[in-house]
Amino acid sequence: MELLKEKESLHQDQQWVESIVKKEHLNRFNLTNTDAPFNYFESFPDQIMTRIQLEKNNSTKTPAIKIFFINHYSKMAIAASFMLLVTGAYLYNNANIKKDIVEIVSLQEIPNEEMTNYVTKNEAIAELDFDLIIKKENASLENLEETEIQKIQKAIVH
Amino acid sequence: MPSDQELIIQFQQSINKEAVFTQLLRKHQQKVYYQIKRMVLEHADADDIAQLVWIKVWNKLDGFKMESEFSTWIFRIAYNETLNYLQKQKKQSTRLSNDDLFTYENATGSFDEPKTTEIQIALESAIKQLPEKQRIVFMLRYFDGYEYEKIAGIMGTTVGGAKANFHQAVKKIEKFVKKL
Repeated sequence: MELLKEKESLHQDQQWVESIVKKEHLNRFNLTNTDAPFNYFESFPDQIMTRIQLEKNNSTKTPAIKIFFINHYSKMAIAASFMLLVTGAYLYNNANIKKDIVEIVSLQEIPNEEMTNYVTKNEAIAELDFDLIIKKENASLENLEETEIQKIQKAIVH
Repeated sequence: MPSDQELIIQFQQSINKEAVFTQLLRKHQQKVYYQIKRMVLEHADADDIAQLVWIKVWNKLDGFKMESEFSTWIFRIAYNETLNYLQKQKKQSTRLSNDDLFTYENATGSFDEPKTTEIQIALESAIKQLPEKQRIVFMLRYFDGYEYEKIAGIMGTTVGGAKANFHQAVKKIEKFVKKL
């Protein structure tokens, strides 16, 4: 039944077209556009099979260089490890920052005695540095010549 | 002669692949070629596309699940390859340029009854100027007598879409021919 309906519909469509353009014109159009060079279809299968054979040979001779030769699951595993690495590094860095803050806070809780000791120790270092500078200056004065020393003395007196 | 289905099963079971494929090729090559030729009109272009189509068929036939007819599947490949080809060569497409239309209208702008050759030229021009989808639906429906369902399968559209394309194609041809 459906087949019959479809045939009827096809017939109606074809009749509609033929009511606009004569059937002979349509047939001529079809003929001119459905021609092929002489012997084309006889040689075409051989042409295709030769091309397929050539492509086959090329693919076996020069295997494609695979950059991503690993399978899907390995790719996912590598991606997951990379993510883990990045996340781990980020968390580790953040944890260190928190530690530093904790240490700064704990500095304020250092007893006064320890603080005094620290300051006195630093004063000793500063004094040592000061002595070093004086010693250096003296050394350079010792290197001055007699005439230069006299000049300086005169300038001071005046 | 073995059916398409039998040949495909043999191919997929790797029983003498080349020979089986050649049988399929010989069986369908003309229809595939003509479908392409009607779209591109030049033999050289049709030959290039037909080769691409058959190589694609060779590469994909192992994965063909026979959910549709083999002919529908291969016509769909041919249709898509032709569209790709035409898009790449848009400048040399088969559509008439404005100059061509002007020349044609001037040549046929007399009050006399149009001659057979003029009608022939007009028909060709009318079909050539149709958009690719409408042109292929018109060809498949009128010349090949395909059901709309098969046409829809080839073009990857709905039956309604295929019917609409045919209707629009005929209306455009009518408008063009009435100018004579």
